[in-house]
Amino acid sequence: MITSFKMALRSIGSNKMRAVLTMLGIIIGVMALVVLVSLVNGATTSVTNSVSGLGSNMISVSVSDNKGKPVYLDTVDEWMAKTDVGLIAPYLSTTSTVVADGESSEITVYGVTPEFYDVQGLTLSMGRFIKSSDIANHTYVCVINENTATEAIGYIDCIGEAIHIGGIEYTIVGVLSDNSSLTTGITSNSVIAYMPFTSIIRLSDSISSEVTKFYVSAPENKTIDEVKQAVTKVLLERFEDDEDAFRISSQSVLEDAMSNITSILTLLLGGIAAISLIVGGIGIMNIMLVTVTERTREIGIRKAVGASRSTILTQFLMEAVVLCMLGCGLGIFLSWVILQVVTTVVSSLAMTFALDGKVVLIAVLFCFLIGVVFGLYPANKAAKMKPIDALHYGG
Amino acid sequence: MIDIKNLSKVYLVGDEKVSALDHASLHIYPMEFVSIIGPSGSGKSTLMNIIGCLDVADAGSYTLDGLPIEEYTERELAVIRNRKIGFVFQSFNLIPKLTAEENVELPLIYQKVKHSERKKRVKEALERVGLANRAHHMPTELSGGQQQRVAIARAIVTNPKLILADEPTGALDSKTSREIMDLFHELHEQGNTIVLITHDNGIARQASRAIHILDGRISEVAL
Ligand SMILES: Nc1ncnc2c1ncn2[C@@H]1O[C@H](COP(=O)(O)OP(=O)(O)OP(=O)(O)O)[C@@H](O)[C@H]1O
Ligand SMILES: [Mg+2]
Repeated sequence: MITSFKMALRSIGSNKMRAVLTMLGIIIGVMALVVLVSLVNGATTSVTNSVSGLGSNMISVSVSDNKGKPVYLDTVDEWMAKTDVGLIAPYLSTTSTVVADGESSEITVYGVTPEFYDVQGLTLSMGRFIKSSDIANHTYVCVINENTATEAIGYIDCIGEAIHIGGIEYTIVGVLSDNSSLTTGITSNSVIAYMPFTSIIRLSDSISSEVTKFYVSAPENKTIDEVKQAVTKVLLERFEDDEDAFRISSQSVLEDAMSNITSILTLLLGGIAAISLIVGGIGIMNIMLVTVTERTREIGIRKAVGASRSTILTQFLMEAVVLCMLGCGLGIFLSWVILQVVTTVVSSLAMTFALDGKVVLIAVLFCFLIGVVFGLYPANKAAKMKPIDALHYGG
Repeated sequence: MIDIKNLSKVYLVGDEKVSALDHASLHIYPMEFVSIIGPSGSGKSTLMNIIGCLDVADAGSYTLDGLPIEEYTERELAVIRNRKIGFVFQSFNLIPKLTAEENVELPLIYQKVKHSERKKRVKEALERVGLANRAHHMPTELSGGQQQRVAIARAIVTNPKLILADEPTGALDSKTSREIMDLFHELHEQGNTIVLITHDNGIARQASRAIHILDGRISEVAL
């Protein structure tokens, strides 16, 4: 094995220029694969970090089957007092219409408690958020986002103005800044109003005061997973150990969407790179076929002094694989250089593009596979030569 | 050791049939020094290639060490070529990219002999042909006689029972030819079976038995 490895290295070394040109396909393919995927991963990591930095340090829970024991706001308060989870923010949502200047348009209305503000990482640009007294007194107040203010009122500084949602008049007590977080950033184009959990019930007959959806944030000393476990325990106790009665997800919709997009992107780019690797493999096969023809006489001599079919097969297969792996190594090295350069160049963006271990592994395995697959045919051709024909070839 | 009966080999060149061997029969005993002599194109090389398991006949039987050749598998034939037979070709057939030493080493690599043992035996073989000081030369850096001696070293490095030499002196001047022939006599005295092909009567006469071949037909001449 080692001898045949050395033999392969020698025979590749005897024609360096050709070896490099042959490897070029593999080198470029590997670079495409490693660099592109690492870039996507690097960008994703940094974006995901900023997303989770902005208020996705929470889990969302929805209850589908209350087992005859519906959860109300006081139940939630009890949980908050009793268990060591962070804030629990129950919410209801519905769509309604808002009338402004005689024109009505659709609005998404959330019924929330004061905790919602912190849990969701919202930022006020003016006024105040929903207070506990609003909950207790079922007041007709609401907090809207800047976009809603411009759409429904006409200007942003609208504290104290009245807004008609679903035919009921509410007083605007606060305006939320739209660009405070990525979460609200995405919703900045929508028309949204937040009102006391206890007031939203009047908007629609289909809403009851039962809590079916809520967010839980993690306190500083706990991880999301710990909180998830704590909440699961509480809910299992309440709903007769039925795991199907509720659903807990720890990723925000945004992160879900992001990871979807990036995995599609990774697949797509990976696929393109894989195709270029296959093209590189065909190049290797091509050169190996030429090599086999050129060395027909050598094959004849080797057979005459006792090389068996499998020995010759191994020799040429080894050459193809070594060629591929050399190209792969060079490609990975060049990718590393490129990623270092990119990281330095875009250092202002605070993104790091490191070689992704998994991609490197995939590249190595893929190159190996390509070496074997595309080396097999030429090697087999060499192995099958009859010794006498090979010896007489070209003289 | 070798028993050949009614061996025939026909080449098709275009539509024409060329009969390279025509019902050739031959017996070679262990430790014999046999020369095969005949004019150019008479089928000498064809016969040697068949004896050396590089080629197969179209008809007839070839028994090597008591076993018909058809009963050996491809892999076993490779082992026979590796261990039992040493080839010396008319055109040297060294691998140009390898040094003299590496060319001689090749059959031992295929025998999976250990590195240190290999080096030792290669050195011995090169010493026997008087080329120890040329071990690291490439074939192109050697004269024809030297290349042929490297080829002989490669043939004897495995201590094969049978040495097949196809006009080993064909491309050499008379002085080097004599040196090479002395080497074969030495090998014969050491107990090797030698089959030597030539079209030179003088060389053929040096063997203990000469076999004539003409148009693929064999006739034996005792000397
Ligand atoms: N591969 C081949 N294809 C067609 N005909 C061949 C082939 N090899 C040999 N022959 C023919 O078979 C005959 C015998 O050839 P062979 O090589 O055995 O001759 P030889 O006795 O070795 O001659 P020389 O002394 O010139 O080497 C010749 O007529 C040759 O033309
Ligand atoms: Mg000949």
